[in-house]
Amino acid sequence: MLRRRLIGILPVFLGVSLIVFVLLRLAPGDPLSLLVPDGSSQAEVERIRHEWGLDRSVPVQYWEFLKKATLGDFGESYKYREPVSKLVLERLPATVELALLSLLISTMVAIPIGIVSAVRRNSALWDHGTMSLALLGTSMPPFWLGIMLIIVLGGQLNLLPVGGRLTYGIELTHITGLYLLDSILTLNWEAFSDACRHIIMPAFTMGVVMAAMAARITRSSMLDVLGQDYITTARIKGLPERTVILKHCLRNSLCTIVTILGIQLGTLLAGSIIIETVFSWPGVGSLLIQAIGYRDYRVVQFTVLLFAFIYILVNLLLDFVYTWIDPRVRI
Amino acid sequence: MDIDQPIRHVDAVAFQFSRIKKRIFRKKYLKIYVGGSIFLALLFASLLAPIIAPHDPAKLDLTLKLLRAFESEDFILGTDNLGRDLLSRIIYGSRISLLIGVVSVLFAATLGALLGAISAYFGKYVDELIMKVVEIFLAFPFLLLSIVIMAFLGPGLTNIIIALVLSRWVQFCRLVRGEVLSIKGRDHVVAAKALGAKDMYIIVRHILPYTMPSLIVMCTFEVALVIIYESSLSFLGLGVPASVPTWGTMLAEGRTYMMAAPWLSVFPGLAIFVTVLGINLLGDGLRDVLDPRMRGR
Amino acid sequence: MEKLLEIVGLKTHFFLDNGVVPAIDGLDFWIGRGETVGVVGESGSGKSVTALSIMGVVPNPPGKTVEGEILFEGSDLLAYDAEQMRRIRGKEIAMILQDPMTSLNPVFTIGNQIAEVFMLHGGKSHPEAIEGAIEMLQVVGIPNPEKRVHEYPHQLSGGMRQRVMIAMALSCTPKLLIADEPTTALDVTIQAQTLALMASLKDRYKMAIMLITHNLGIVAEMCQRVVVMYAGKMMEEAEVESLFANPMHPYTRGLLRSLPGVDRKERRHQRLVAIPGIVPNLLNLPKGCRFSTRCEEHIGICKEEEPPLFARDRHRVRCWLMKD
Repeated sequence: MLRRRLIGILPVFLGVSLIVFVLLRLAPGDPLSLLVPDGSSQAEVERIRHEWGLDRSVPVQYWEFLKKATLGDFGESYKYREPVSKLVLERLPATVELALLSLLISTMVAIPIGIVSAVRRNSALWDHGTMSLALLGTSMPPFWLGIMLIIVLGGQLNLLPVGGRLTYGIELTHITGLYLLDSILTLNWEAFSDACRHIIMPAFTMGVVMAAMAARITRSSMLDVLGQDYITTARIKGLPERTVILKHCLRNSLCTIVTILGIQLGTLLAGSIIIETVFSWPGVGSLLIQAIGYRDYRVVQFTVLLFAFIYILVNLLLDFVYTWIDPRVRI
Repeated sequence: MDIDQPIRHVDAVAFQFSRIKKRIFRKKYLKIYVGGSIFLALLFASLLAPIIAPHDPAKLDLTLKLLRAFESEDFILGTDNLGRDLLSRIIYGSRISLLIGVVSVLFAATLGALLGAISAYFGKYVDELIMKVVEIFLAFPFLLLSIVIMAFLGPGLTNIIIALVLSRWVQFCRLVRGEVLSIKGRDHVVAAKALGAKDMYIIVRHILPYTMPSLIVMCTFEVALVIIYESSLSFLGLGVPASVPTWGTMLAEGRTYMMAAPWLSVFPGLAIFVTVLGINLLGDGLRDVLDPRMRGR
Repeated sequence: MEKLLEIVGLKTHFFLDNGVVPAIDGLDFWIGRGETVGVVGESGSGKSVTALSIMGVVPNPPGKTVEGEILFEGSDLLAYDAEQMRRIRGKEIAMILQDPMTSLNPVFTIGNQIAEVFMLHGGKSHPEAIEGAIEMLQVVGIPNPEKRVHEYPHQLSGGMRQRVMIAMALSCTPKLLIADEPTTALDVTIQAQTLALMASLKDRYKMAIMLITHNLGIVAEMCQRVVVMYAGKMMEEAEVESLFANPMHPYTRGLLRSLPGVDRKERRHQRLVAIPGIVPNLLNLPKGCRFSTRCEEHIGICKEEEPPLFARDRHRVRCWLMKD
């Protein structure tokens, strides 16, 4: 079964790479402008064009790309003249750190809120109050929330740094690339508190938007399960309400909650593009936007493929989690 | 049939009763009224922009640059770095945001609904093919696909609509496919088929109308989402050209003066926030009314 | 006969956006120790809500028991707090729901679901409770219980699942079993088996059964006494023989006429007659007798004043025709 799923993913991945490749190859603006020094002769331009393989037809270029990609070679960046995989993967820990922390914040807040508001349905504070907040959260453009935080906390009150991951000059040994983890591992508390101060605003911004959505879905799924007959069965057995909710109800809602995590991951990956730009966070997302600006298409291509790859893989993983949660599900 | 069947029965009876009494001003419709009013107000503001905007949004006057909000009677929300009136620009900006929101969703819904219906109706390899394409599109999370498409097409009004349609049609396709799968076995469809009606006729005439309630609800939520997407793309410089006043481009410009002139960042964002909130409220309300199963969810 | 459960003036109402629905509107009846009482009526007559009210699990909001007493062995369950009530549920009073396909939790094994009752009310450890579950599965006639105990509900047929529900309900040998249409969702052949099982277990455990059904055939077979409900009120109450021989309420007569008499020779050539109309809207009950809108025998007073219960020996009926 696992094999069938993995094989089913291959065409999807090919499709994704084809779309990205073709779109970028047909894009206006020649990446040659990055490669060719000003005032080069026509012959010089042609030589460079040939050298980078840009004179061949798009299908041939795609074929070459695929051949190399299977070996892990995604080419060199036009601008930085470095392998794009190295360039992007170097910045991945920053994105992962931000994403994990936001996911942690949003999950810890959203799922309890969703459960409580379903159980206390129609209560003014627990249901209407929290759900109104959630509606506000889903209606807020995340980048605007980020800007507002920067203006108030960073500018007016001058409490938190408004960009970057670490203040310049603070030493930190890199182990995992996740600064919070690294500073704990090396017992470097100065770096830890500094990294915390840097990450709190972007993580909160991203967390708010995700939490709002997740709380709404959790509530709706819990309400659905609360109306099922087997919940009545659990009650008439004499089970305490706590057990009814936290065991019989939550276990059945877990499938939906896991689905939320999958969707959230997508929001996270792509949301990071915007949030990283707002907070000058040196992750993959902000690199992508810079690369689009420079027409450094190989970086764009690799970044998008990487995001899609992570997204597909995690969702595949979640499919297996379902089978563990719900014995009826067979992949 | 389950344990709370009599309760459901009571509910159904109560529902019929309410229809007889036709009490319009019920709590149930509150969200529709509030959300709908916000949306209508915005629609009028955008249509009547030339009349209600106090200034020409494009008029530059460097002597009036960066006037603070609420300090000048003439420029209530202040001016930007080129001395343009912020309020007028926000009013004109609503035109582009609403236009993009509504038009992209209409196209995406039409494309998605048709493909979804075809996929479910014909089944077999048609379904498999369309679903594979859907799966490919779904592999791009959130607005990643829009970002790629805009990187390829370059900024522009038509381009951004294309980018948004291409990244949102999938949602409609999946919704409609699911609905059609459950509708296509119903008696009236089977009867129409038995009478020799053409497939496309059956789809358009006998199947799609039944998906309308959930489609309308989804469209509403999608308009809200697309407005956020558009502003995000414009903010990243991947939306409409910077010269067109949309809320997203205004925020991008305001970002440069974030600390010195925060009003340039506050008000365009507030405009997006209120608009999206209104449309989301409308969507919540419509869902409660059109889909009683989902009431209060 | 000693009264095990007595319901006095029970009112359970549902508070909806557009009004209060009196799903149970003043109900009085009792069940004796070891007795089987049938509760019959159309959908929406308040049978299931009665069961939920006794168990104290009426979905709240919007439902709430607003008045009355539910005396179980002499003490009022409505005065119990949540914890006391919890100890009654599943231990003293158990209940079987209508649809076995949806009333078992799909993500736990049936063994775990039965074991839960043993652990909760019997204070047993998990392995002991699983042993108990296997024993109960054997009692309800599920073959191969040692294997079945580790299976999930979706691996069992509807009839088997209802047996699991019965096993779960009987684990703590309750004094009263409430069965809410226990066979409606099952195939006809399985129905008979399930009823036979319930009858034999009733003798074995000496418990009382409150059997909710709309099938008078089942009532004739299983019950000693019958309560006929209509739109939240009791219309007639009698011993089974008396009710079938001499139905006093026009509604009861209507129900009996709509029953196909397979084994009754004298009925073979009669047409089945449906009661005209539908149960009235509980938000907008007619004035006077609530059955008057559908009653073919109604007289002047029926549309004016609600009839009280008239007693004839041990036969009680709520109809003006029985006034004298």
